[in-house]
Amino acid sequence: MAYDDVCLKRHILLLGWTDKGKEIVDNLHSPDVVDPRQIVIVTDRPVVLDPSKEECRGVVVVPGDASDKNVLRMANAERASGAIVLAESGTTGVTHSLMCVLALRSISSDIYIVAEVDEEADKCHFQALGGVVNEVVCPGEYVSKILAQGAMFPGSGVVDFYTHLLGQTSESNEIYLLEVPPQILGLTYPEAYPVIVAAADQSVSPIGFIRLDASGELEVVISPGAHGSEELSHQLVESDRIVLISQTRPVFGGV
Amino acid sequence: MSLDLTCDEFERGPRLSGHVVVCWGGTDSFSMLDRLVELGATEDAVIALISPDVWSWAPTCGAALDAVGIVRVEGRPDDRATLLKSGVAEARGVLVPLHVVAGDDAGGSGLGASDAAVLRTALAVRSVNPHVPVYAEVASENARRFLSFAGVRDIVSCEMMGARALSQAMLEHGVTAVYAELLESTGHTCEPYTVAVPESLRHMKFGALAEMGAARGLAIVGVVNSEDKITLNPGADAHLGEGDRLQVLGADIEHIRQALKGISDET
Repeated sequence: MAYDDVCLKRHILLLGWTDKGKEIVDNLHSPDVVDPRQIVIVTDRPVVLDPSKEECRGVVVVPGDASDKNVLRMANAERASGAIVLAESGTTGVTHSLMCVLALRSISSDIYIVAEVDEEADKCHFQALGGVVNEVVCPGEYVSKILAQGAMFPGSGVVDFYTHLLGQTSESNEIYLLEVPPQILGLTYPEAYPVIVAAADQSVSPIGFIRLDASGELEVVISPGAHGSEELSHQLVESDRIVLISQTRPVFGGV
Repeated sequence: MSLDLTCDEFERGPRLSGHVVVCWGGTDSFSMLDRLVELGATEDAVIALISPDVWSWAPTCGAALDAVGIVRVEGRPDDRATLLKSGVAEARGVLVPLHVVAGDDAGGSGLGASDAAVLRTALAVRSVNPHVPVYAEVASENARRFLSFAGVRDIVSCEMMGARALSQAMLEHGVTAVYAELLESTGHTCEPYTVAVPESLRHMKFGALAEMGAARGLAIVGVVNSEDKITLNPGADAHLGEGDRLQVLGADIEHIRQALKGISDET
């Protein structure tokens, strides 16, 4: 048996450990996840997981500083598919997260990195690194925006809507971004809508699409046509993505 | 809107109504103030900000807050007298962001000090005005049931939402941009709304209605029943029941109503 057969690969790294850690493990190993990956937690903090939980099976903890390249190599970071960098509390939290990201990127050029920040103002530090970080998430920003929307539009169901999308039950739905199936290439969104619904292997609710705008930037278009007819007449191309809501990642028949 | 309320006026209590009250005054509160101003909360009313140390930072940013229509009320938001001064009795909604208490340990199944402060505030608000909607942020998912007992319906757990957002970003690359667009409050955006199903459309199945909505710039994504239970993506064959409302992503409520009227006229 070769080394390649036994070493960690295509796994997801969880760098750092906070109260969110257990929830993340549960989510990444949820029965809804089509292609679950092994999780490797790299932290110098104590990690306590419930060994009786199915979601915790196969989770590995590598003790050490997640910004240390040697520790990351012990976690076989160069072969990992993705990494979540958790924001640990304390005044050096952001700096430490930045060091983790830079160390990780120096080891692997194609690993998908999602970084958490506690303060919205700290997003700029990660964005300043250019493409080093793929996505930056500030949970506090989500919370304040959701609650403010809720207060401004009472009875609009805003909080329920997001709680369901970001909630954790077997019946919850999530947002998925799917490649444009060949049978709807060249169609407008209203024309494509019934084809998507009919071709999916489960109930789906399309909500829009993502396209490249004139300057080559990604543009997310939700409820196309809500702000004018131009979006409704956009003909879907291969580089676009369909945005939809469903319980698990759908597969289109015949694709 | 610019306000110039004196301390005396605060003592008497400013006559406020139809406004939003934001509690505590920590980092999360300021973030919410930003959102509320972006969403137009100060266009036809004010925002009342309750904070125990309101005057300590007033010299530096008080004028800026006044300029956008934010009234500062000094006192603890879990104190009834302070809440009365902030006009909670006639407010349209109360936001209770997480008030982080130093050294808080929210572990286990109990209630941490930060979440306890949110609970106390919600209970105090309820005692002043049992009907005003309260929107609460909690640190731990454990706190949700305590807030529910206190009659708070709209509760967001930072821990759960953060974990889910991070996991979804890892599993579905690019999804962060979709949430950013949905949660954006300036420019051309679409927000979630619930809207009654017009009588003439009640015979339709969800799928047919959603398809006709898509042609008019509406993403009809779910159904909210008469007990306020939301079902997202209920399936094309789902029937719309008595008292059901639609969960829609749209530009504004007027556009949504017009689009539904258009569907109604066509069928």
